Amino acid sequence: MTKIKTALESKRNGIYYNNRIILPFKCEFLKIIFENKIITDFSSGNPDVEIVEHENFTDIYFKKYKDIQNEFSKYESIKLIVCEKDADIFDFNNHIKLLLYIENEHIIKIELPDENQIIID
Amino acid sequence: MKKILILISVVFFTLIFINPVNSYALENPEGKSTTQVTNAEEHNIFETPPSPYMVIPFIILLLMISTGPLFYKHFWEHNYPKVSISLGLVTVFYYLFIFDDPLSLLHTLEEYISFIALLTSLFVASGGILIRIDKKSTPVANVVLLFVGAIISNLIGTTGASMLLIRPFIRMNRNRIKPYHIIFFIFIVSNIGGALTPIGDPPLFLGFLKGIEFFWVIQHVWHIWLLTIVIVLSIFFVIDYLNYKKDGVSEKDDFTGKIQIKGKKNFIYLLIIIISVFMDPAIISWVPSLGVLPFGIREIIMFSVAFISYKRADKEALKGNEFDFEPIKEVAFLFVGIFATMIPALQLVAYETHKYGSKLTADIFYWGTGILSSILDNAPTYLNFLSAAMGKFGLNIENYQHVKEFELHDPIYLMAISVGAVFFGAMTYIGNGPNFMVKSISESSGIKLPSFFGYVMKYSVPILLPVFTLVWYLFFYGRG
Repeated sequence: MTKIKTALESKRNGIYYNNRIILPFKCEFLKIIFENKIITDFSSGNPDVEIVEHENFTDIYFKKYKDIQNEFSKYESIKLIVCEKDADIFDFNNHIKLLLYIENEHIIKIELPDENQIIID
Repeated sequence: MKKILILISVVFFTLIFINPVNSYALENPEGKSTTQVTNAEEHNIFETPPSPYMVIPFIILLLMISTGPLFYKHFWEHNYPKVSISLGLVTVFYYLFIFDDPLSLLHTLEEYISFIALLTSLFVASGGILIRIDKKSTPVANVVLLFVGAIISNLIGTTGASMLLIRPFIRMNRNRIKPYHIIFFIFIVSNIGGALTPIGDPPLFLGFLKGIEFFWVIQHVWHIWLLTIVIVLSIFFVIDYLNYKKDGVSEKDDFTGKIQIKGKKNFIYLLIIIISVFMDPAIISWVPSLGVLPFGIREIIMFSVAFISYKRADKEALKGNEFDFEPIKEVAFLFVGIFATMIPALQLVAYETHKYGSKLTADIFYWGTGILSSILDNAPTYLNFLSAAMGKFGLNIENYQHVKEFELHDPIYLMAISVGAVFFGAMTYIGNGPNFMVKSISESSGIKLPSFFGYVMKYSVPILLPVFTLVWYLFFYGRG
């Protein structure tokens, strides 16, 4: 199982195809901010996203969009608040904020936010 | 899709621009702006008004702008340019081929270009500035920031000030932020604050383009502005103080108190934009007119500054601000339709109020402009009521000299319209452009805000409505 920390340290990118994002790690999702939509319902049958876990990666399908590339400028990002699979989810110190930048050629650049970028937990 | 839109836009402007009307401008012997020259050839709308049916595209467009983002968001996001331009084209064809009044279209095109040049340049230049305030989030610090925002909004517009300050405001309050923080920001910085100058809020800039003097607003409404700002800030202080006491302070105590700014050079660009507002042959005699072109030196400077400031912007600042052209693109497309479809509405309002003008008082102008500004966009609402107020005296808003003459009448009407349009824009998310922008930025930072009705029922009605009623009672009740 690939951890978030390992993926960040090795600077691994994610990839995307139309409305599918593939992240190079497994995690617990707490919040996804897609443009101005705050998604916190990850139960099966929710109208916004579907998350599919694989052995070493995770798929996120954004159900309401055909192609997520059309929705973001190069300075905008999809924001995630996630937690490692084996970490204590109830400890806020374990919550990890991530920014996903959509680049050309199906690349998703994964970054930790710097001091200028705000993600409210 | 893009090609179709570009084609429609080109046809739209060509129909207006390649027209015999421009020969008047070519014959202009004194270098006056085309607006002034063409006035002489206008239809007398008090004798032959346009067909009342021509208001329908305007009503459809305003209703769709109000309801689209709320009830059919997906359709609206993908189709608003087509809707706006198509409705605008209906009016353009009517004025060119049926009503035979191309001059009104030319005036409107000139105003649209000026309007969009100002908004675009302020949006782009302020988007390249990133402010970071390393201060403890206290009620006093918040009040100071909101008050500074209210002042700044008169210099760089409510859009520019909102863009510049919302992220520092959220960042400063990140450990105890609540929806009311954002909503008071919308009240003060995105709306009420910008009531002092034509740069402050789009309705006032439209008034300026029509001929209202630049400093007229600040001279006549500063006392209303100050009282309202003080009251709203006081209410905010009480709520924030109670919240601060309840939630306690943030865990971090080593605040430096420093304010860091990235993209400082963009302040120079903002200054150039503000100075360029006055670069009009009608204001400064030595500024050259560009003759047949439906724009002037001012608009060229503004668009150039927008282009240069974006190209030379600090990339870190753009990234920190998550800069995107979408908000300004939306304004540009929607206002093409608003400006075009608004022409018959304005003329009909002037025609009708000329007949029934004696019954219209300052109370009606204040509440009428206010209520409509809260549910429709406040810029076209302002122009409609200005047209009505001028119609009361038999004056036509499309005539530059008539606007100048109107300024000499009792100022109470223009005061009521200006205050009503700017202040009441804060009543809903759709009342003024920056409201939605601030909402969107806040939500994209993870802050959950109330729904459209939640905003109105929890905040606007209990907080703003009593304040605006007090303003009416003190300044407009029984006058005019």
